[in-house]
Amino acid sequence: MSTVNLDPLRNCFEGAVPGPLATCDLDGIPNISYLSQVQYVDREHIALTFQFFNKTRRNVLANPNAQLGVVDPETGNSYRLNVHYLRTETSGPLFESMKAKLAGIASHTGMAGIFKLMGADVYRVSAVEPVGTGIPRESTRINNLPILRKLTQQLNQCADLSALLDSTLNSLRKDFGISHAMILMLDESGQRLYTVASSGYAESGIGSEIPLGAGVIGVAARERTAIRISHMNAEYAYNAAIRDNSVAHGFDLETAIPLPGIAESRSQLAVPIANGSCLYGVIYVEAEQDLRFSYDDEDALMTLANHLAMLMQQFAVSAEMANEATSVSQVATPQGKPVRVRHFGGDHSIFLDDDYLIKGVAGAIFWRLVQEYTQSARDSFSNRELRLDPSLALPELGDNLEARLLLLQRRLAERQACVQMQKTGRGRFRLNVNRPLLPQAEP
Amino acid sequence: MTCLSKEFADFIQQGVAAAASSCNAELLPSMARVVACRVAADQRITILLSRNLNPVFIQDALTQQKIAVVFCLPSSERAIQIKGGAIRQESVLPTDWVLVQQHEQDFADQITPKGYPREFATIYHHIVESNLYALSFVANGVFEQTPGPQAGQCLV
Repeated sequence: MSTVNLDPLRNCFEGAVPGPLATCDLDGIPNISYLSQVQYVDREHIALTFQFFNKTRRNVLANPNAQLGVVDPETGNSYRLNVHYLRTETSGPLFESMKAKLAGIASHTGMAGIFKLMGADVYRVSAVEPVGTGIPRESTRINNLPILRKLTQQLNQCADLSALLDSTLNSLRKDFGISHAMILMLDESGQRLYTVASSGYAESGIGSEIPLGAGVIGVAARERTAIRISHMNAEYAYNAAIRDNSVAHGFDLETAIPLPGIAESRSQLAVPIANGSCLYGVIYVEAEQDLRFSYDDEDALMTLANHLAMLMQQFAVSAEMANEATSVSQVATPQGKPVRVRHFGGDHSIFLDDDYLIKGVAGAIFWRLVQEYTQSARDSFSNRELRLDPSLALPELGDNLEARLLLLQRRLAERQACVQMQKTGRGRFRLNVNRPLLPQAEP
Repeated sequence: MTCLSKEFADFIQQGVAAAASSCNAELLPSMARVVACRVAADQRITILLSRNLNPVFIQDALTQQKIAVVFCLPSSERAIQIKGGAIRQESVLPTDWVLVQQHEQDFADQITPKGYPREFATIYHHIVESNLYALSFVANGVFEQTPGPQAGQCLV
């Protein structure tokens, strides 16, 4: 087993203090330059940014041996690392993660538009030499392991997706001290994510959307990797990214519901909720301070997201398997002024009188429920019948119907609509209607 | 020998972050943190560093007679690299420790606007007077090192 272990040095790789990289050419002419980013890869490997074909790059291609200086920004502890260039990656999770982080550093140092990642140069570290010691300082970091232990036990007790998401956000706020968080799910097309739960924002943003590949959230989803930015960042500001990406790809994106976000987001972390090749969504957290989220936080949220993915898969399967007969009872007709439920077939957008509610798959589902309610006087439904309904054209397996229903339920609750959805069992729910409904199919 | 302009001489004697490198006969690079520097009237550049923290670099530089030093001003990120030869050990002057302390204060002025406490400059330098070592060289090239596509461009 190698004696090199970079784990205790991870704080050095936050991009806070530029580190010098010393190389030399085949004639023994030394070269030294400061680096904006050193990325921890694993216990024995780091990656450096390849931005320009400069002298450093020419040197390492000719002579792969180099020496790197790094500093812990909290303690001032300094280290020299003997490194050996191995390869350059120009795509994939490592590349995307470094690209996002570099954009953050560029913005922080006023170099936006100058730093552009061409590749992630991976080096093996053969030796680590402490260079003096800084000041011993008590770490103010929270120990995430006991929190994760408690949280995963809590999550295992959750009966449905709604409880799962609420418990997660609650723990992020109370235990991890993360004030602003949201959870987004991948839609049926696999091309966009929609917000299904959030915490700490003036507006919940439930139902808001972001395209795959846009901003920190979209890149984390597309690449199935954690994206963490420690400094304020214009390039990855997701509202701008959404706008640009949507225009570029001609997306019919949800624009009536704005994505939540804090105005001065200086630290951002997005982790994919994925199980194997199956992506469910993204957990996103942000803060107003620089360097708020560490490598340890990234590890903790990735572990949490992996656990969530496993439970989401279980919920999806069990909800689909639940096949109890739905009650077909005559429901009492509510009193009061009727509400027009207006459905626009083009994008399945729904308005209650003139108030926008939702669109897309959730809109189509709601329209189907309202029609069934008014025509057949039914108020109880199952996930399974929606799945099998040809008018909804839902995929047979593998989508997130449960999440769509949760989104619909939360939008109705948030809007204090005259129709509310109440879960009545695994894979079953009821409509509680307190005013007469008048369905109107709009052109 | 490269003639160092007053602008460059002034620049490297400010509160810059600085690091020097050399390599051995097997082409293994070595480096040292520079805690201050002075430029003599004859253009010879003397860098001050910790002797006990940088024995490999000192040996490589004196043996191979090749050196590169990068200077970066934290407030602007402007950086230049000076390469040179004719390396030799210098006597530590009675004023050198004052120079180191002044550089530490200047460096602290540079990094405090970035959110670092002043004490970080002391920790970063990590030097005690008894370990101060002086190494001088003659410049044979000055290169742009500010991040960007022009980095590496020969300035002098």
